[in-house]
Amino acid sequence: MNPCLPLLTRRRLFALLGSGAALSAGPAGAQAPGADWAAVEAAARGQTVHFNAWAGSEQINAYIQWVAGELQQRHGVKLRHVKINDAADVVKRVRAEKAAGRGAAEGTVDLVWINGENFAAMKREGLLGPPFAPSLPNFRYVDTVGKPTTLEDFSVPTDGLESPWGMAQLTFFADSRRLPQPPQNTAELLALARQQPGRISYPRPPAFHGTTFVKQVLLEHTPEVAALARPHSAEAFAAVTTPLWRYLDALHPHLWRGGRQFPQNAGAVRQMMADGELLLALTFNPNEAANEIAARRLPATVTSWQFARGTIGNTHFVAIPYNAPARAGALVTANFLLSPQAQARKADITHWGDPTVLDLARLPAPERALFQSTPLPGAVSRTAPALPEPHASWVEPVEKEWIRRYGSGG
Amino acid sequence: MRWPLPAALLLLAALPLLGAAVLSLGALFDADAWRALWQDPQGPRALALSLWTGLASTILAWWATRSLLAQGFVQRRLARVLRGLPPMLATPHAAFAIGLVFLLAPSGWVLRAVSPWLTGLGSPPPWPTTQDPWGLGLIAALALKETPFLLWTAATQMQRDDVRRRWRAEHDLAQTLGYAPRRAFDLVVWPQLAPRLIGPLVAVLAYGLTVVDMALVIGPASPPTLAVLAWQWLLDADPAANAQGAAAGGVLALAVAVSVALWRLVPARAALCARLDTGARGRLAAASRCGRGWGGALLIAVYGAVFAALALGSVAGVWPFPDLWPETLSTRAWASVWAGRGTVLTTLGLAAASAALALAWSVAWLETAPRRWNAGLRPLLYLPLVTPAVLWVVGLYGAALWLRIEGRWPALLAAHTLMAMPYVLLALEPAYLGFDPRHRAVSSSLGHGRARFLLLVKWPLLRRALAASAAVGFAVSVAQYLPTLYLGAGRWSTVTTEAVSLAAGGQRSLTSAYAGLQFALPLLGFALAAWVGRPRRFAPPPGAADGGTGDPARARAGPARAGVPGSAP
Amino acid sequence: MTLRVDIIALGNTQRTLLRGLRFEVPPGTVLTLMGPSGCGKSSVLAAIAGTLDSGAEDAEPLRLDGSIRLNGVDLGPRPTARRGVGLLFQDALLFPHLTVAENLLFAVPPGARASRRARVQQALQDAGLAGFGDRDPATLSGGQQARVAVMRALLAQPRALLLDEPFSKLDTALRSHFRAFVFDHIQAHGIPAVLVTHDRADVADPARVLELAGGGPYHAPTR
Repeated sequence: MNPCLPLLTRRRLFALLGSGAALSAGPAGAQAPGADWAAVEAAARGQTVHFNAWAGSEQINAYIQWVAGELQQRHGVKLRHVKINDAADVVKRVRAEKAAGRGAAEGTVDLVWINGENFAAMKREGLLGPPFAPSLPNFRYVDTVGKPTTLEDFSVPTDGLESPWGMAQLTFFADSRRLPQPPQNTAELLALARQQPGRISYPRPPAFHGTTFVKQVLLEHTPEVAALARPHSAEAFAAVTTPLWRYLDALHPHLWRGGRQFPQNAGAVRQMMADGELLLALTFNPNEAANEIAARRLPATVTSWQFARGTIGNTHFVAIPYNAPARAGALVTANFLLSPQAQARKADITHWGDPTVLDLARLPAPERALFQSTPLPGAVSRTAPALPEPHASWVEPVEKEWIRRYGSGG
Repeated sequence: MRWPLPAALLLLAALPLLGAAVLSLGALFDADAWRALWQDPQGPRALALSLWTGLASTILAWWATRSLLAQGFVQRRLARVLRGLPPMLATPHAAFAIGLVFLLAPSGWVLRAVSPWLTGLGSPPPWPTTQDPWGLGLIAALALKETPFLLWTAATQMQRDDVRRRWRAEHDLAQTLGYAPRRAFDLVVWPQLAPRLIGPLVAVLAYGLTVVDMALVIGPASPPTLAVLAWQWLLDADPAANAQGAAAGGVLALAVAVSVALWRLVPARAALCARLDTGARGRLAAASRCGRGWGGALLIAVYGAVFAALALGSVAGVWPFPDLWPETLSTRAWASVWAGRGTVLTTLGLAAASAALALAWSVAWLETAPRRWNAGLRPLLYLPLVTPAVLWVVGLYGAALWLRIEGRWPALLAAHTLMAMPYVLLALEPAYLGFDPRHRAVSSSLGHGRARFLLLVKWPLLRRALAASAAVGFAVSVAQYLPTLYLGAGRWSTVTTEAVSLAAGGQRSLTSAYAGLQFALPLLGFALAAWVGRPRRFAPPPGAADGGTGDPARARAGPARAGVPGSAP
Repeated sequence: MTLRVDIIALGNTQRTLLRGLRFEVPPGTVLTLMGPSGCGKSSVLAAIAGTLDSGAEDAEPLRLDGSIRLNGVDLGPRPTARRGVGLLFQDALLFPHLTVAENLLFAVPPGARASRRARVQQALQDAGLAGFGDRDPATLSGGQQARVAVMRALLAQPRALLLDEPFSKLDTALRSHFRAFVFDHIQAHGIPAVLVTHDRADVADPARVLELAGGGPYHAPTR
């Protein structure tokens, strides 16, 4: 199954440094919070918000339940977690509703957890309502400078149509008893695969963890990183991706099942790693291994790490469709999700462990203290830089080419 | 006089069915989609895999059913066979595949049991025992899951008293002509039974060709079967991919139709004639106890192993290879199942309501529709069975959107009922249509109207079949995922939607625990059906044993007394 | 090829159907068993043919305490398929999925294809049904079906023949004609036969009649 959208966030390194100023001023149409917000809160009271979010993890589900409890208590908003498997479902649903002529406030989705290509599709087809993010009172704490991906999702400007929720970065984890020397880049990974053939694999694209691994290789090997930040062009494709295919051609024969078969998704890879069939697994949540150790599903000797020079990282968001019936409630919910209390609890490994989008420096001292947490076994000990995602339009051509070369039972 | 009711029933069912069909297949008129499908590099091999796994597993299941039925019939153990089937029928498909993978995987239980002392392996070997590129694992899983279903439908055919007695007599007759019991079954009973199983066979074939969840777990991955590809494309956010998925779905539906047509052309007739020509009487294997039921034992053993694997997996914590027993046990998975128990009520309510509606419709239809209509319209009523589920849901959702009922309880109920109806009809038809028509004549001659006849005679006599069909509808509704998600707009969580969402996270313990819950509900349904359908207990005949006294007075009191004056007691 | 039947008891743990029945049937003759319904006549035939455990699946099967000897050979340990005892029922029970000729072909012992087919054609002619070979058995009249059933039983070259009320479904006009047909063939083949009926007119040989009733069996004089 396509494990949906989860933890895709974007961080733009290069182009952003240049236009950072323009971006941090905020997209057009944003309004400063003020007396309007009190009206929104009043309108939200008693509403039911249907929050469509991926539900593949108990921790995430439990966290959302906590948010629901808080919202009910503080604002009288009833939050219902609509458990979905893939954000693409929501895109299609809203698209179908629009095609069927549903007007504003006649839809079934109030708030959706989304990013990446799904967001790009919704934005392109006008499925998202008026911009709202900068108008949220808690938006002022968001680290738009240090975390540029909070304003640009896979190089597509958010334009305030979605509000950031958490950060994610490609992380590897393995049992240190079996892998005492974790590889620090793709070249070392190739060497490891040669040494221990049949013990490494990655999810089959288009499962997005697999796609992300391929993008990581691409970023490390491509001669023209700048081209990746721009929209895809067929002419640049060959030049940009040739080293990628060369690397994969060298790697695949040493992979699990000779690189002719791949696991379905990251969950399958993790299970195989736990069983001892594979050496390492990958995830987007830097704290996933710690969570699994705490849940006693993985031994305490498992460690996580990121490549020394950096791995792909991005931001994940929440967005409000154009036809959300409980728009005020959705706004209040999005605002609460950005609050220091909610962000601190989310970043706490014992609850979820998803890194925060807030700038701790901007928070008042008592709120900042909420973010203290002791590191747990299995968490990443040395965080690496987050590399920006390529432009959203590169994903499909790369996936297609991968399938053509390796996905047809060669 | 009698036309309005069946016509109304037909409209009630046909409109949504046709509407959904048109909407789902409407995507087929997109030339770009066909072109994209044709050009996709995975297409041809995926199609070949789908055809291979679907047909091979169906043939295997058919063969296994025939063998097991022959054994059961010859050894007069059919009733016992039937009793053992409901647990196997109630097992959710995906859960079964997950359990089987856990048994057979390179890091699975079977290899753990023999490593390292027998195989010398310290870590899982690189053998493709599951997700193998030839689809053998998928074929095995499908065959194991579909055989009980075919057996069960064959047994419902045999439940018709008149048919059973006649076949029994014919079987004996063939034996007096010198044929061994097994061969007599093959030549006399099976050729009469097999044509009545075409309906269930089509269901099995359609499922095998369009299955997604089992193929994901245990089938080939690179490329996957066409059904999985179609599912992935239809779930994509990109409309072009959706169209491509619809085209793939259309190809699959076509494959089902062609396979069914080919199956009917298989020269069973010619084979039968060839055997008649030789007149060979068949081997009388050691007192006709041919193979002492090893086939049935194997089936039960595999299911038992799968259940055990799932049960253990649900409490397992850390469990590295080659440990036979988990290092740590934890009940977190069951705690989370308990936390999600609210969904059980929703599931029960939805399943009970849709099973009841489907049963009511089927009974009304079978009772009032003229035979010609029934035979002619069967293809339409079986449409949800034959169309790939993911394509069908697109049509249903489109219909709900058009009617502006999406996200509401009636839409959800209607979707579940429409999915359950073909199965309920399939299960009920043989018994209902085979009901002795003379009972009606007798009842009318005694002055009772139709309603009294139905309530006092027909339905009580058909209790077992009615209850069993309802149980099947119940099980089908519990297993629905996509319709609940789409037509309920995700507002209602059932046990299956919870299970699927959590399965996406890949935790074996959670998946196993939820599979346990998914299994328990239909099993309860079948148990209830068995209890409702039990035959009436009559008092034993008076003076059952006359003690051999030969007393003529006692003899006259009893039915078949062979009191012989003068014979020794 | 004499048939000797010695039934000490026939029944199950819940009831005894009959006791102490003994008779002998020389080749080419027909013994008639008579009695009211339920007295166990059909069960005697089932015991001889070896199809006793074919009753209702839930009820306990009947067991035979005694012996059945055909030409001196005890048939007890043999399964039905090896006894060589033919059976004719009230219903013709022609297999509905086979044509008339195929029904007959079914009965012919294994051998060369051509000779088997020839025997089938001969049998059809004997029965006056030449040309009916390719017909669906359901399209034949009751009398025609009964004739095919007899020919089928005889084509298997049985060593004994059991008839369970085979004439009761035929109308009187047809009956006597058919009776003569059957008895003639039995005599021609020279095999012993046992006929069960409740109609006095069906009796083949008045000297060989056994009454089964509350009054007890009456032993036919053995010859």
